[in-house]
Amino acid sequence: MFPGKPVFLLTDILVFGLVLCIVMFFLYAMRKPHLRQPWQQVVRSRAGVISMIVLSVYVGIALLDSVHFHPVLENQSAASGHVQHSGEVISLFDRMVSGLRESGEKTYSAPFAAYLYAKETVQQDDGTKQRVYPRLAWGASHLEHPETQKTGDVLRLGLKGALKAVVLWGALVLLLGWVLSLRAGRAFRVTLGILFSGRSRIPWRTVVVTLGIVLLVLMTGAEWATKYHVLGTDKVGEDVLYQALKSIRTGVVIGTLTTLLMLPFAVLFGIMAGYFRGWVDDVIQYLYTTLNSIPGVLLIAAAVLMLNVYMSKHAEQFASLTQRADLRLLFLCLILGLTSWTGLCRLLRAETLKLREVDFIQAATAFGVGRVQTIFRHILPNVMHIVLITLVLDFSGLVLAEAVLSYINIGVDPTMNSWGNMINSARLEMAREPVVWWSLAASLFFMFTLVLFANLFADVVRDALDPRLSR
Amino acid sequence: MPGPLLRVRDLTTVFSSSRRTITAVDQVSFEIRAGQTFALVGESGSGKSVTALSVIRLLPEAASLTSGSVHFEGRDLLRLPEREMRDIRGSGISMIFQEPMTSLNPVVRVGKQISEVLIRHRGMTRAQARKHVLDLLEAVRIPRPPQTIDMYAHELSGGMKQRVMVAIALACEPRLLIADEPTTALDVTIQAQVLELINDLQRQFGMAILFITHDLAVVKQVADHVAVMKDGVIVEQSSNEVFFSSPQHAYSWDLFAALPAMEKRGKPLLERNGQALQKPAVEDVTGDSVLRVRDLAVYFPIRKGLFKRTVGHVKAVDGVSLDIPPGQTVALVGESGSGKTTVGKGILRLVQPTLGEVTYLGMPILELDRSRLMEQRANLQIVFQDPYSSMNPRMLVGSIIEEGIKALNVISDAQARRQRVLELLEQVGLDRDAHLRYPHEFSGGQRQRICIARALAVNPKIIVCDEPTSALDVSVQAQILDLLNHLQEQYAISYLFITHNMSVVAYFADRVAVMYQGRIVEQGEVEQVLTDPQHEYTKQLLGAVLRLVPPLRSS
Repeated sequence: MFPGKPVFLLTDILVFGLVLCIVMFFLYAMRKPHLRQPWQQVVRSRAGVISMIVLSVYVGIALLDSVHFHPVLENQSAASGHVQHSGEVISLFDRMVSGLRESGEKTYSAPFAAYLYAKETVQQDDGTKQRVYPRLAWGASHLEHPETQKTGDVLRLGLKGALKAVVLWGALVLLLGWVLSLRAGRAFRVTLGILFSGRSRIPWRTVVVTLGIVLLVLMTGAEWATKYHVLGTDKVGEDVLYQALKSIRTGVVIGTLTTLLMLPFAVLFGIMAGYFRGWVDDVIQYLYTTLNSIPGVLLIAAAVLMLNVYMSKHAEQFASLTQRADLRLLFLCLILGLTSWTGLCRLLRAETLKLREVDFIQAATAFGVGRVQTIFRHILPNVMHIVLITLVLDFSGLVLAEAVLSYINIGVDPTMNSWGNMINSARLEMAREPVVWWSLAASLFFMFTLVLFANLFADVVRDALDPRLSR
Repeated sequence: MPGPLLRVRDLTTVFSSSRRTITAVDQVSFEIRAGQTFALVGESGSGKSVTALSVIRLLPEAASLTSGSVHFEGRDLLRLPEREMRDIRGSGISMIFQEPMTSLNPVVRVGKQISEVLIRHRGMTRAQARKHVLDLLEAVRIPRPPQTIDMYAHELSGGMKQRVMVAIALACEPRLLIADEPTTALDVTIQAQVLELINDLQRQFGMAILFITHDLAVVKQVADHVAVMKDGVIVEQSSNEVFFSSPQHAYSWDLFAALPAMEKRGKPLLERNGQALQKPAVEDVTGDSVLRVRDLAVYFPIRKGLFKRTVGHVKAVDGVSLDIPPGQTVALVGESGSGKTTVGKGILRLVQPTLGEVTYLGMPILELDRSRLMEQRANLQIVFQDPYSSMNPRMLVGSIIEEGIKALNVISDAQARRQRVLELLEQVGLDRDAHLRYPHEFSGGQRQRICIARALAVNPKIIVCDEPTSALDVSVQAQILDLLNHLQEQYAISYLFITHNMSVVAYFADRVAVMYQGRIVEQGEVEQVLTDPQHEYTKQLLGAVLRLVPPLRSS
């Protein structure tokens, strides 16, 4: 049963549409050897499998965070027979980490802290008033004497998480071994031997080790998060770990949807300019040189400001704050896409110019094959590798661009969790004394990991797909 | 008598990747004496270039020398440290490569590229080096050395670039020159000049040459000693005279057999004691030709400025007239840049001709509109030079062949179409199951067969063959020529055969037209033109062709 009334945000629909496209592409590619071969190369490289595992954790969180609904209100009388839904919109991911979401404090608290980061005047039992660091409402609230018990408790929880991770990891490895031995028709022990010797074509040992590390981090983190604010809390007492995790969706959506939205323009215009030449080429070239000469940040700022005005004038069109923020996110993707399609367009134009003189296109012309057919059958499949390489290479750049734009307040909605917004608010925290460093550190760490592995993945994909590098 | 300059013993070079190891050079032994020219002959992939690279230790990373020794002037090159090896490469042994276009650095003046070597290896000062460079340019017979010394590579023609490469190689007066197919990328007239130059310089400097080539005619011309390589093994070694009068190994005989020549006309190249081909007799040639080309001209506009105003024209083809009789082969010969490919493409309207008329059985091809032209596409087809770029790498061979049938609606039933594809594959000598594979799984010769099948698929009356064999080895060329002959006999197809290879013309064509700078300077029956050329250019061209009379099999 779905835990509430579903809400379909525009970006949710697009994200799942994209996932569907990718799945369909892979099912299609599996049947075509020339398409399958480069992806096999990706799967066979160590950097490839490591980054794929890490990225799939990020993407998994982003997808869970993209299923939105109005939750069922609690404390309803069962007799009424009518289920009441709350006005707020939450996601499946919010439901999974509801502990974190609802565990607000008053204000700043450090990672793993039991006390607030700021002194407060508290009335003692004897009626006197004293300025102390009060205990947190939720973090470490299960401990009587945090000063003495905390270290042991943290270690105990960590160990518990690690144990869970090891058990889960063991189960996964056994499952993997079983599946592999079934597929290869080998004895189970032989398969396990190959798995751990690192002699297999797909680097299974690397897969298993990476999986182990990822599970260890996830499980210990989850275990700690049940009792502590692992990464502290921010100014209004919200858990920073929760914010950083929620920002994953924003980053992934911007990184993928932007490219997706600009792709039709870039591919269509690029190929048309290269194939038809003449006035079509002139028009398209003038278009993108003009667009390119407008400073991107200025264009984005203007567009976002316009949207803001529109949204405040038509407030009644938006059912919830989430929807408003979502529209702004989509609009940001759109405008980022509008300023970034020119690069890919130029690449595709050049490649098409080269291709149209190649003999097999001339042969098609000699057979009287139509222009549209020539484009779709002969040119598009032969420039697809450039599209894919650009897609993965642009991803990390766009995630970083979001951070920069939100920092100067023309990025996503301030109510939306994003690394850029976290960094923006950290600007003041860094100037505070004593300094609050965990917001900035958390957002940087999460962003850095995503961008690093996205870049590693992009490198592997480029090596596999670029015909000039292979063979 | 002193020992040999270079002695190679049991040299074995292996290429290894994660999946398999390939032995590229297998236990090769040979000796080169001072002042001698040693030719290493073989088809592509036989390991001749790898042998040379092994000798000077310039192998790619994936390759490794597993056994053997290389002694140069008594020193074992394989045991020398890299520092000393660098001194040997330049001053003891130098190398010229096949492709003069990519061997020179495009952003450094040619004079500087030569003087670098002199400064590095012979310790000259800049001024001394410059003076010496001028002498070298003089020696390789570059006109006006004082101007050429300050030019960039792109300002020179192919032949001039190869001369510069020779000058660089000679700069330190090496005792051994390794020439890896130095004339393959050049036109025949230029080839003759470069070979003569190398020959003269060898006498002047007294150096030995390791000459790598696939061209037996060149070998005959330059070599003292010949070694034939096949699959990494030297199968035969003997002196020039012995080799060209009575080769020992069966593979050497096969190489000679595959050479096209005037004497073999009308007989298949590869089948021994083959039946003579039944060609339709040459009748009244101009009377009912299938294709008439009159005053065909293709100009490419030169555009300049913001609004791309046309300021002039490159006259690629300038008034060409041709007649192609039914079931006959008309060869169009000429050097690179003479416009012969453009004629072929102009006839098919793959490039739009500027002037002239092309008539196919009374139909004015150049005046047809799109839909009428489409109907005629089936009658005129083309086979390209490069079998690697002429098929879409992302399509199955079956769909590649089927494309034309489908687009021109020759057969509308899908089942019948597939049947036709299978028949075509069989006809060009490929397996039926080839239709489910991709082009990259085939060798160059097999790909060219697929291209021929694709052209045949729409039952053309004329096929324009644009250098269909010049990217192929001689033995594969022979197979393709046999196939084309066979198809002509069967279907009475006419070929417009574009080539630069005179011996192919002599063997294959019925009529020949010689092109020079966009115009046809002479045309007529093959025997007549080749034995009694009238035009000055034809005489020059034929004079530059190296002739090779294959030895007669005595058994």
